[in-house]
Amino acid sequence: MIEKGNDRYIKDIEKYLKDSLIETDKASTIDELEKIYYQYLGRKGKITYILRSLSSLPKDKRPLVGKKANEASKRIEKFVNEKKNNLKKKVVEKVLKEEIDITLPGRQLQLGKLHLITKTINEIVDIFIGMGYKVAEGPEVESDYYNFEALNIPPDHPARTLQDTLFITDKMPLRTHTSPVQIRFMERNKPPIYIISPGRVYRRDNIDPTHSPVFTQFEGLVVDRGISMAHLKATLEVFAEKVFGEGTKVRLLPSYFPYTEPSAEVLVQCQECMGKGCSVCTRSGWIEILGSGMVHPYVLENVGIDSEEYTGFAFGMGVERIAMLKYKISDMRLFFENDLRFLKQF
Amino acid sequence: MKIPYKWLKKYVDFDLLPQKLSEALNVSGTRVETVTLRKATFNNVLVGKILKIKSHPNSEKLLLCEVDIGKEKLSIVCGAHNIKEGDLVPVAVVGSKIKNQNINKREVKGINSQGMLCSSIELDLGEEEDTILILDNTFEIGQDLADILEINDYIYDLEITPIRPDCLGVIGIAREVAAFSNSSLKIPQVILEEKGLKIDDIVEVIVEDKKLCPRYSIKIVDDIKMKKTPLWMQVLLKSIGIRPINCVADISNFVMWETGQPLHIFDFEKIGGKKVVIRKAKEGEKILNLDGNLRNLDSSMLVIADKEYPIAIAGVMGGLESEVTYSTKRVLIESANFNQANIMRTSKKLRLRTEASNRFEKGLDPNSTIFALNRCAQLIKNYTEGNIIKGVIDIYLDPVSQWSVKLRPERANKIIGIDIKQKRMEEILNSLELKVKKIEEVSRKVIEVQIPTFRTDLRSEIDLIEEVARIHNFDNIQAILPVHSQKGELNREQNIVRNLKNVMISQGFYEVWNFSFDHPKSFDLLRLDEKDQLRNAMELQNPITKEHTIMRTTLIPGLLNTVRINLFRGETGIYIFELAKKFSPKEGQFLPDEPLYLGVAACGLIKQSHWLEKAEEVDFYLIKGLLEKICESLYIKDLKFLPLSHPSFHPGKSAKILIGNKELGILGQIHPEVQNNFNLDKPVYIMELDCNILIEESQKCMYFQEIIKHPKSAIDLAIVVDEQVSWSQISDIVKEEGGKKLEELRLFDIYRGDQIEKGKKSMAFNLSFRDPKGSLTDREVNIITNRIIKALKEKISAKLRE
Ligand SMILES: [Zn+2]
Repeated sequence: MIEKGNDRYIKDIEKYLKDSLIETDKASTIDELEKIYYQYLGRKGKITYILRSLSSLPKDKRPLVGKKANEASKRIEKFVNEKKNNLKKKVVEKVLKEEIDITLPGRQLQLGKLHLITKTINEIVDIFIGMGYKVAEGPEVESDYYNFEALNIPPDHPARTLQDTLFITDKMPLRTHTSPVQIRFMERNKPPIYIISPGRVYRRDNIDPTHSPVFTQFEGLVVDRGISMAHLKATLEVFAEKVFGEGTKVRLLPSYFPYTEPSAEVLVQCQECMGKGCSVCTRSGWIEILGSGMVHPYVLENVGIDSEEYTGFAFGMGVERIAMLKYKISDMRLFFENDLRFLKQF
Repeated sequence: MKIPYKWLKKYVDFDLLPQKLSEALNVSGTRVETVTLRKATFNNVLVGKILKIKSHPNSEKLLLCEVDIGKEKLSIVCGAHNIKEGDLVPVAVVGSKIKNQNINKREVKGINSQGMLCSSIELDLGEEEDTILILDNTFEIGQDLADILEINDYIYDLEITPIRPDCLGVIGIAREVAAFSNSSLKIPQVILEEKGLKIDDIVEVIVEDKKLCPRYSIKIVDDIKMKKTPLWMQVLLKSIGIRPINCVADISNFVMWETGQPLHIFDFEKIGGKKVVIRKAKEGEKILNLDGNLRNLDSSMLVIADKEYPIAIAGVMGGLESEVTYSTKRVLIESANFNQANIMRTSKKLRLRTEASNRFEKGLDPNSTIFALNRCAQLIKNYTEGNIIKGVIDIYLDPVSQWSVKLRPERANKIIGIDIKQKRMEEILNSLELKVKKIEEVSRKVIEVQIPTFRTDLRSEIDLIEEVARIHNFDNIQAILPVHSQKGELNREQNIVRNLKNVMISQGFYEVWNFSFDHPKSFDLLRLDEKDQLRNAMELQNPITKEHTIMRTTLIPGLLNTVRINLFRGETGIYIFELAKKFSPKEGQFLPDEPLYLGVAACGLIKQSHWLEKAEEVDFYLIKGLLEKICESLYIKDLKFLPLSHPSFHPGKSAKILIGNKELGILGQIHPEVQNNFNLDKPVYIMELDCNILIEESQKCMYFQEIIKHPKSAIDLAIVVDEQVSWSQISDIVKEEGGKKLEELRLFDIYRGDQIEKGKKSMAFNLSFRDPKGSLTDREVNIITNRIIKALKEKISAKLRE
């Protein structure tokens, strides 16, 4: 391989240097420059080859050839890099001259939306998870026992005429509230119990702006030692503030539910007039949003919880109603009509 | 239940203004639904006495009256002729207003008229148009008519809870007001003057069913002269929503509203055999009711009968034939107590709810019959000049007496979350007429409370605690959050479901909520076989509408209907999903199965045309891609797709989805006939997945996979194969031969056309390789690629396309 003389190497180095500089000068793209670099200084490059062959030269010749080759390599590299930087600058300058119409419509990836009922349930669920509650679920087609009897509503109880029930058979109603879920949960779990139960419920109501035969309820249940109405009140205050905003006031008024005693209707400050009184709240400044109360001792005893040792509270609300108040929706039918123009809004 | 403010004031001495009363009622548990200010449609109408009547000098039709209105005498021209000297009449004086019309001094045929005499219709006090309203002698000259009739008043509409039937009467509400306002109750005195015959001598009462009729009390008033109901009572009844009928009927309604005890009045002469029998109806018996409807009775219903026929449905509605009319001379007043449950059932069966049944079905106090009976008899006597026949028939075998309930004040404080003294609790109870009988001597920590029988709702300690809480006022409870150490969280299933919905929306789908109902005709529209198990649905016993008769067994009809509605409303791309339960009855268990399903529907444009992009229509692969994303998010691998044979789906464009050997669901284009059946003008792609399988199969625990730092090598291959060869055949071979170093296989083109043989297709795909142990050399990549090509040639006769 080493037939070439010393001078030959030097000559070659000079030629390569010259050639490469001319080529570099001519080059107009980064790619070309990279090829040039590779051709002379790459793994199989011409200068690289000479540097690798140094060991085959006589010892006294090596320093000169080596020096020349190294110098050439540095010069080529420098020249290529300078040229590269120049080119890059030019590219930047060119790119900077480009201009687009920023008002043209954007290209969009698809994004769907959760139904407002789900969105509202999630929001409320998260509030209560934050307060240490778990979520309990249960069947929608229920037995009379769980939907009524276990909740202190025996067959001829006057409360049965209050809510019209849909039935599969006399003994199998569609649940009219999610309270049966709570009974099922209490049967299987010992206190302390902190649960919420969102879900579909059914009433024999015709569809109109404020009624629907299918709607969604959200109930809560706490059974623990020393639970009182004061705890119920505070819990609902937290709920109302989180859902309707800081400072939203809550009021409890005596009411009647068979499964709680004392029972309370819960009012929140009207969101429309902030308590001043308007047509939405029939001038009272308050809007009824949920029912609540202390769990009736009968209900606790019935599932085997000692009502002397444990007390509890429960509350329930209509999810659609909460959403209607919060988002100022006046017609409940919109929730089940599923018009995309409604769904896309939330 | 409606109550005028001024009426209530007659029974209790409170000094709360109307607005405050409303607030106080609400706070103590009697919900005020509305308060309406009722105003007379006239003002300045005074009671005048006609002193003289002359004929009008210029008109035969007109009269000229001299009328005394107390402070002056007026000369008034009048067109009606039913008046005579000495009559008391309503006089609209000059300056008064009647139905927004000013009454001015005016000249009638040359004579000045200083006002107007009014008819009942002009004052909204009756229907008579052409006659002057003649006032009875309870009125006094100069009285302001609107004032004396108390027309201007606040009318409260109260919501009474079903366990407080005692509050379905003004006296009951008055008792509540007395309790929270610390004022005294004024119950009307009843003094009976009886004379003539003895009741036992003229009528016989037999209660056959004592369980359904615990008490039956009657009195008889004789020699009545049917008159007009006093005006004040008419005004009152109208204000509470009851149409005045005749004096006797009006009095019975008035007393019911006052006491809460329903009464019924029979024309005694029309009771056959002078015998009243309280019995169950006989099968096939009928009754023509007061409302003019003929009703069929059955043997579960209690009736009041004479010697032969039913004359009333007990506690619900009377019969037309024994109705009191203007010619009635002798009335039998019934004040009874009927079994709550039976009245409720009867009323439900007959679909007939009345003021009476509404009260009885809440369970009334049998001890309240006599007061109402006597009050009614007294008023009838007073207003009809009748005579009350001596005595009463009162069949009451099992008298209810007061009971007592114990209360631990400490427990009351604990449950309410307050700290009030025992003495305050005793005060509260006493104010509600709940007498503290004794305080347990040893501990002094238990008090025994005597419950009056009208408080049918107070049976146990918690009931008394509620009384204390509501009168003490819930506003006085200081809110405190419970302190506990329970952890709040969603469980695994709930988390997965929530994530699933988030994946769906991230892929551009909108969530919908449909009703859980369906109708069997949907199954026909879906082309289901007669024997398809989806037809096995739970039927509603009492559906609300004809469209909603069963519980749904599939989410598809709901989705298709939603698509149709939106198409109809102009949407061009409908991408929706619903996550909900289906209902399927199951042998051997009482309640149905309620599996949770994810239903997806897609129709129309997935992408609208855009200045940078072309419009894109939905197809099978879009839904399949969605499924792949769902599974990716749940770390589910190894999905299998098998041809689907389902009557609702396009046979060539649908698939059954398997994970292992579990059937996850179905996916595909709906059958064109189903599309037509649902009136859809575009194809719809549907997917229905069993969420329980998704939950079961989703990986519970994931481990980190080492990230390979070595470079990847990629090559493209295009092969020509027979049309019948499926992609899964190709991909199986490629994956098999590619081994572990094959990182990704991506199909990027399918070509059919001139450049290749007929009946064949070209499939081009990209293979990327990576080796965990080091950089792959070209040689290594070539070896694997050649192995793949060879296998493709051998197994599916693929040819490499150059
Ligand atoms: Zn308001």
